[in-house]
Amino acid sequence: MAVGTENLEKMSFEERLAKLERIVETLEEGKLGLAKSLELFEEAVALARSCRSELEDAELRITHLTDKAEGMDRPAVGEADDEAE
Amino acid sequence: MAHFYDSIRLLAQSVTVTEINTHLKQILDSHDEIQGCWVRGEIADLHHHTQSGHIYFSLKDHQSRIRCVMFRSDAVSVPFRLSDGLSVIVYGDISVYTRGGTYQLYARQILGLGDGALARSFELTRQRLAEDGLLDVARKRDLPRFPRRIAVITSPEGAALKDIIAVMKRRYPIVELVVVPCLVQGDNAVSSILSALDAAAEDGRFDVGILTRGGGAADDLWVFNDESVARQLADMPFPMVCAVGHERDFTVCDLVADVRAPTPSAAAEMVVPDMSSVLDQIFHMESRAKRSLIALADMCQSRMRALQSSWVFRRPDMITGSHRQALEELAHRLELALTKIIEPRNTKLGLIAGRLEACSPLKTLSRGYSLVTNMRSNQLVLSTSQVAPGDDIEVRVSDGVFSARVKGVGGEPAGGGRH
Repeated sequence: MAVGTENLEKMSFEERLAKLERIVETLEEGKLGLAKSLELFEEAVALARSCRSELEDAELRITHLTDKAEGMDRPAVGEADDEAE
Repeated sequence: MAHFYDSIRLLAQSVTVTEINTHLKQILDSHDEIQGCWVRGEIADLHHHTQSGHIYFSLKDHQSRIRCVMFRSDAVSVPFRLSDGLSVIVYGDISVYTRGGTYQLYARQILGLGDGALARSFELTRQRLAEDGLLDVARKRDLPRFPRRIAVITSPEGAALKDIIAVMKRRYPIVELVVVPCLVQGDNAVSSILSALDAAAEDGRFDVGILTRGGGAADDLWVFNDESVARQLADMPFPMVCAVGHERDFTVCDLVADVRAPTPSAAAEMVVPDMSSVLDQIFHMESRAKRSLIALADMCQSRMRALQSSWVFRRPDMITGSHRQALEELAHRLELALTKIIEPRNTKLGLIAGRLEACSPLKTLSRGYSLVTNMRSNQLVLSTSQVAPGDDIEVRVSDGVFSARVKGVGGEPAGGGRH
């Protein structure tokens, strides 16, 4: 069965990438018939497109885990800012 | 002689060197904050007095210095080799050496912050962790290839966090970076890091974590050599990367973590893949899929071509030809087989027929005998008793039959042959 776009949305990026990898390997084994291969190929193309667009559109999400950490009412004192990079 | 008496008075008022030094000593000795205090600095002018076994040295920082002495009784308990340039914390009393007129720190205990002492303390902690199996290579977990949610346990103000954010933005912005704030130096740093690790562990949704801070002085990084921090780091439910200070800085946490990164930026690079390489991978997989499909189509086509060029399509008559030949051969064989079966039987039949013919009644009839049948009784007449005058009879001779009527019946043939 070909995976529709609505199913692609539900899968995580990693799952899609892993599925793409599996499909490519299956296709390379060459044990499937032409019709089934074509179906998988279409699915692979859809997976690749969706992964690519997600990567290209992504923006880093930065959040804070603010509970529990003690003593955070005052800022960290004088950490040396002499990073190597 | 005013001058003389003045002098006498001044003499009376003045104190001796011993008195002033003793006085100063009393003043200093009565100040609690300099009795039993910790002084931090770098060792200079180290001198081991071989006869007494006392150690003389100075503690200095970049602006000032203080003379120090450590008596033999205390010096023997220093667990490492002192040397010039070593960063130490010295515990002792500040007092006046009255004979020399100098104030000095009477050292009773020395904690090293520099190489030797650090190494020793580090080694002891390392040994305890190793005994508990926390340093086993088998414990090291692989980092996830494609993490989604990453805990960064660090100071929210620090350069380390900025570096990590910059790297992740550039390399792989698809993740959620969660800052788990904590103090990374100072008195409360240990408990703060422990709580932050706790909070991250309890969250339960992280794929990987980074415990990090930027570079600093050796004693600033000391918190990452804390055994309780190291033990909790080992206990984390997801893989942890430790990145403390610079390449040259190596802490106990580095040993315990699943992966050690030389710098915060390096940690970020280890934790997330490079987006461009992932894109390359996707492209690569796509072209592999295409190649496979093309190969499959080519294979189907060449199989079709091979089928089309088969003699079956070029010479369909050959399909029946071979059958016909087989059929003819079978018919021939059948004929031979039948002949084989029939011939001997035919011969035998001829013999039997000859013998049969020899004893045939027809043969007898041709010699002049005849067969008489009584039409009334429909019986072959073998005796005169079987006929009565007037009976109709049928007489069979060699070439046919004729009818007759009995005229009379006698015992002996009365002329005229047998009827």
